[in-house]
Amino acid sequence: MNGPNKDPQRQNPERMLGGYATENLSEQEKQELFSAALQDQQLFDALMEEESLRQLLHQPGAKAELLDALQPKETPLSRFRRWLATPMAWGAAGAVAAAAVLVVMLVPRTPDSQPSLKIARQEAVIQEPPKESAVPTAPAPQQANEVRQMARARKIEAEPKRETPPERDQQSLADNAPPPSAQQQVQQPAFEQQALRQDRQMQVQTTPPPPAAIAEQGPPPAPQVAAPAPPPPPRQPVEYVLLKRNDQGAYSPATSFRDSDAVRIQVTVHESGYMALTRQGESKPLVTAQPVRAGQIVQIPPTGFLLPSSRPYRLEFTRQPAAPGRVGIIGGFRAGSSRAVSSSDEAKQELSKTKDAAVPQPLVIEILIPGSTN
Amino acid sequence: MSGVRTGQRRGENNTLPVDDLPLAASDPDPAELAEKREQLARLKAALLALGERCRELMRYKLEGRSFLEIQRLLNAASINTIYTWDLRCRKQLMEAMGGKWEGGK
Repeated sequence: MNGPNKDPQRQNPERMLGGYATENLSEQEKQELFSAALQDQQLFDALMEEESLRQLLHQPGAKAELLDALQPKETPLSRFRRWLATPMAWGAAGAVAAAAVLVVMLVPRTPDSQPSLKIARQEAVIQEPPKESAVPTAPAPQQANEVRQMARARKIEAEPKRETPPERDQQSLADNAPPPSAQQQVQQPAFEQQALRQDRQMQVQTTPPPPAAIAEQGPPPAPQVAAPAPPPPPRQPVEYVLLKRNDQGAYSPATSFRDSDAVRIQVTVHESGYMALTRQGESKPLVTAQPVRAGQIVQIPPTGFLLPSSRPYRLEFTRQPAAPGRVGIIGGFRAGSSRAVSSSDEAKQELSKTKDAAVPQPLVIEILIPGSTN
Repeated sequence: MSGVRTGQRRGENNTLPVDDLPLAASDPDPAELAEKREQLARLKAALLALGERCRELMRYKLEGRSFLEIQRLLNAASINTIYTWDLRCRKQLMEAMGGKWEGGK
């Protein structure tokens, strides 16, 4: 059953007692044990005790049952540790590591792709003319105008016959002119228009780069805004503030008016051109077209005053006079008078001819000055 | 009278045939079987109560391994260490069995 126990150090037969019951001794070792037991009574008694154990273990199925009970119970952790030592575990670990490296190398970094999309979107927004604006009658923004001018400049290089400077100016004016639908502006209260004007002033204060720089560099760069911001509202060539005369006779900005208040319109001119004032329903202008230059601040009327009315006043601005050479003379007028003091009625007629293709479309700003009885 | 005594002396009338005698069964006695099973259960419980090293040593012994093999398996320094461990484990086992391999307390 078992090989001889070749233990050269074994001298005490009592040590072999432990192997007798479980039959771990060889025949020679058994004989030595029996011989020693015959000479030692204590050894003999111990051997008899081991004999009862041997008979107990000799029962059929006893050893198998005890071995089954003594088998080490594997815990999941020990099972996992045992599996880690196998070659399959090393192969699986290598495959997982290789897959992780591939994922890191092949998956693109999403944050880098977003700025390019944003820049492209902003450029597209800038290069396209704004379709909607806060004030329908407002012209295209100055930046968009510059872009269009640049585009036309490129077209001029390609097709020199098509565009000439005068034509380009007219075309720019025509482009700057409000669309036909813009003239039907919703009548807004004066204070709302003033709020809109103030908003526009704030937005206009962001000065665009000089035209020369733009011409050299090409289309203006995208505004450095992190989020895709909507196109800035168009800057009007003129901006107005309503003034009301106080008790001391001085005019100061106001938003609410009574029917008897004396009102003036203070206009800040951003672009040189010609400006006139009319009122809805009246054929004659209250103030005929007068030349204005950029940076100028004028009060309309320069003398006299306006009265609040349910009919809106119309401030008209053009970059060129309706009739070249015919410029109206500014004049004051009395309160309540709807007649133009100026004698150049022809200028007024020319101004009314806005549908002529040769005459540039004026920028019309309707100013409603409602009055109250309170 | 002398014939009767002779017959008795010869065992002619007081003997039975061997085939009619009940023979003892070679199977173990059921009582003994039950007792053996009880002892085995106690031995099993006592083995499970031992420490890890004693259980491992007993397992190797029940598997029929020699003490030299057990020395290598348990990474013992010498064979005497195995003998010592075996002596201590058997002493613990006997105490758990009640001082005797059979019967017990």
